[in-house]
Amino acid sequence: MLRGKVKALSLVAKAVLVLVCLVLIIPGVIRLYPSLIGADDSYIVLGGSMEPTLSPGDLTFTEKVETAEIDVGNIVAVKTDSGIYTHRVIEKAESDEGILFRLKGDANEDPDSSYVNGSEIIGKTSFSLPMGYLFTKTGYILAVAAPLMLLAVAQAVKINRLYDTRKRRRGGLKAILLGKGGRRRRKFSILDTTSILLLLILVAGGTNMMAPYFISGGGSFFTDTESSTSNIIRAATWMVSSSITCSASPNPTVNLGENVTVLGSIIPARSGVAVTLTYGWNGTTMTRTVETNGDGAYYDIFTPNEVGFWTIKASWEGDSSYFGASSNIVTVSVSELMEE
Amino acid sequence: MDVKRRNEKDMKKLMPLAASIALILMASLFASAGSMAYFSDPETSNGNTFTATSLDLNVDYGDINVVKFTVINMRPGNQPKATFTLTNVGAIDGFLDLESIVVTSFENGRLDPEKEAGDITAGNPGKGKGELQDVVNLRLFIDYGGDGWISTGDITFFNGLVNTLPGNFELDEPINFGSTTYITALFDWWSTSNDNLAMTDSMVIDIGFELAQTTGQ
Repeated sequence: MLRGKVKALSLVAKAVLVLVCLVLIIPGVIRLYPSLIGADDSYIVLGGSMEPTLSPGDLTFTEKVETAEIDVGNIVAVKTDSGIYTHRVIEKAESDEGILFRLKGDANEDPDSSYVNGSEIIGKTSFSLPMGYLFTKTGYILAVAAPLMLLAVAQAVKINRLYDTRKRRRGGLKAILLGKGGRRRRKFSILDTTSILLLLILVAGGTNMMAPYFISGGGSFFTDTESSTSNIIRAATWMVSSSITCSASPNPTVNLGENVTVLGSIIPARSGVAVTLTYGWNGTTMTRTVETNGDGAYYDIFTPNEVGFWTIKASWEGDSSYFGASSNIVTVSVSELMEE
Repeated sequence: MDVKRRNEKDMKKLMPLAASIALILMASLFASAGSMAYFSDPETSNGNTFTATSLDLNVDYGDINVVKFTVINMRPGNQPKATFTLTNVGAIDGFLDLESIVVTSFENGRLDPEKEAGDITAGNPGKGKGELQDVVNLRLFIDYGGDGWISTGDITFFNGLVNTLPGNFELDEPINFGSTTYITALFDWWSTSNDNLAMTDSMVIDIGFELAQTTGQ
């Protein structure tokens, strides 16, 4: 009874081991010969930018398709100067240079910075195998750690029995390795089915896990873009200098009682602003205010009431944009009207 | 004869042990290959880094948009500057590029001195019609000391009027994970005869910092 159960259990265990073996070996074989499943190329994903769709270590298979057949949403393998990578198409645009594609890694916040040309696309990813699972803790335990431990324990048990229980039978190395000859050979063969399967799992697992380190390209890549936007530089307002001109006519002499026309302008032209004219005679001054016209020009008509030298000066106070200014002093000589 | 027989006997006795050890060694060889792959630090292979972790860039210690400078009263002779602190807080090395650089100008109305100086573009805010970017010079440099000034070893990758600033810079500047680098923008408004054109004008500057796993992206 017990013997039967042990036998059944051992069969189940072996079946599981065979299954694990196949799961590890088949992807390795079709990676090398993608045509076996009708694909054109195979790639190992090297980066995590396509998570959760594709993880590092995953196997992808691509088929060559016409550029026109690639649509938004497809995952494509692209060959650029910096290597081969696999990202998803998020935009398809016509241009003078042909059809351009905008790609993005599913795990990336932002699209790839440059567009890729249809000619750079190697193929559309038609199929993928989650071999990246090997790089997870459970995957590693299942494919590497547990088989090695089981193998070591099984061998230790065997050796222990062999030497301590004196059940060894004659038959030499052949009997020990292959279990041939001798009556109770099975117990003492080193290379039994279980050990061979465990070894195969380790060979396939180790090879698969090392594969990404020996291939070039085929990855996807991470990017992260952060921005600094709305940085503002604003120019201040500042006061600009101005000037004002002043001239008088007639000049330099005028007869007492005659009108003197004083005129000038503010440069740059300021319209409707007050210009102060200061008339000085013999130490006394008098001011008059006039307004500029649309061209920034002003004028005043003034009749001197004393004989002598009169000084005339124009000035304005300035405004929000311009500093005020004063003109040069104009001197007019007023003389008695000569009656002849 | 007896001694020889005994030796042969001992040899035979040791055979299964040797075979078993050989088997385990062979298994260990493949197991350690797998373990190496599993436990290895991120390694660069042909420009791609094989890792299951991520790449994460922080600008000024955060992931949110940073408004780095707001200068409201720039005058001829002023020299404002801003230093961006760029930290690779991910678990793998990356390369820094600048991208999506956009300068948008605003006229903000024309004052008389602007008209006087020959400013023919009007508008308030007058998007795209300002002249500030025509008179302000910008120097962008990788500021290794992070001191905000161009020192020995710093790499100036742009020096020109803001209006000639390109949309991106493929710097390919490596920032290893856990490391920080700095980029400083140094603005100079050297007095020119056209300064009045830019009075009250403003410019909004957007800069994207891209940390990528490979160069050329």
